[in-house]
Amino acid sequence: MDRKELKNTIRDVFYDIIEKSAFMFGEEVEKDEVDVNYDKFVRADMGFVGDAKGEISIMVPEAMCPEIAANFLGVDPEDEKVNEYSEDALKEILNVTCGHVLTAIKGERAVFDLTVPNIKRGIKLKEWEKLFRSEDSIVCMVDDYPVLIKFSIKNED
Amino acid sequence: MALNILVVDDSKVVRSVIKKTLDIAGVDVGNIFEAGDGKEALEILDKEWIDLVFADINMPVMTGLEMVDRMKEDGILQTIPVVIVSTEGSETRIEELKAKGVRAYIRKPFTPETIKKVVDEIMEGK
Repeated sequence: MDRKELKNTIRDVFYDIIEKSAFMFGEEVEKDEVDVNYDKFVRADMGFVGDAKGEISIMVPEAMCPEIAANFLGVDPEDEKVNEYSEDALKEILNVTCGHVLTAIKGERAVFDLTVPNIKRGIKLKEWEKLFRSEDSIVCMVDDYPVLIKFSIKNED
Repeated sequence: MALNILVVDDSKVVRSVIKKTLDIAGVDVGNIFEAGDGKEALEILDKEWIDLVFADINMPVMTGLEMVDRMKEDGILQTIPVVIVSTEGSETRIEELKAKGVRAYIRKPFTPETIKKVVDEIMEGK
């Protein structure tokens, strides 16, 4: 699988997971079409080891997290439970995406141990732009929110 | 018969979604207990009568696999059906889980229909 195929696979898996889990919908987008009007972002990271090892990260605007949580829970975004659950919801989207990406690229016989996802809040636009410009990042657009995904994998010999 | 169910996952949002899905699926639930890892789950299993356990694999402190191993060492706990609810799609891992006595495996994301089918099959002794 070349880099372009890998990126397309990751994007397709992510869109499928966020649609099924949080009823949010992704759309095809090119990097130069993305307009970012947010100043604070949240990043979730996790790693995996096994038949290959690597890491996956998702960075989203902070404003998107309560919407993901509300949709997961089936409540209004203003519901008092939403803030309490918003980090967890992003971590879960990352966790499920990671598991499905690994199956998509390494097959159903491969075995991986996944780490528990970590979250980092208060990320500034500068850091978003750095990842955005990276050749390794995958840009997605979900319900008008820009989303960046970074995935790295190294085969175990 | 109303079932006492234990949901084990380090994600609060997943525990909430499983509880809601059981409700939507029409499963007759008595009490629902929650644990954030395998160790907390074993503590609840020690105190409460539980009919069915839904558990994730990857959790801090004690994983779902370690929890299943510990349950197998106990004459009573080993009879409680465990359903693993996880993101992993590895057939090798699923075979390993079944060999440990796990009754069913549900891959995230899941639907109410999947949960209902698994609960019905376990309760009918299939």
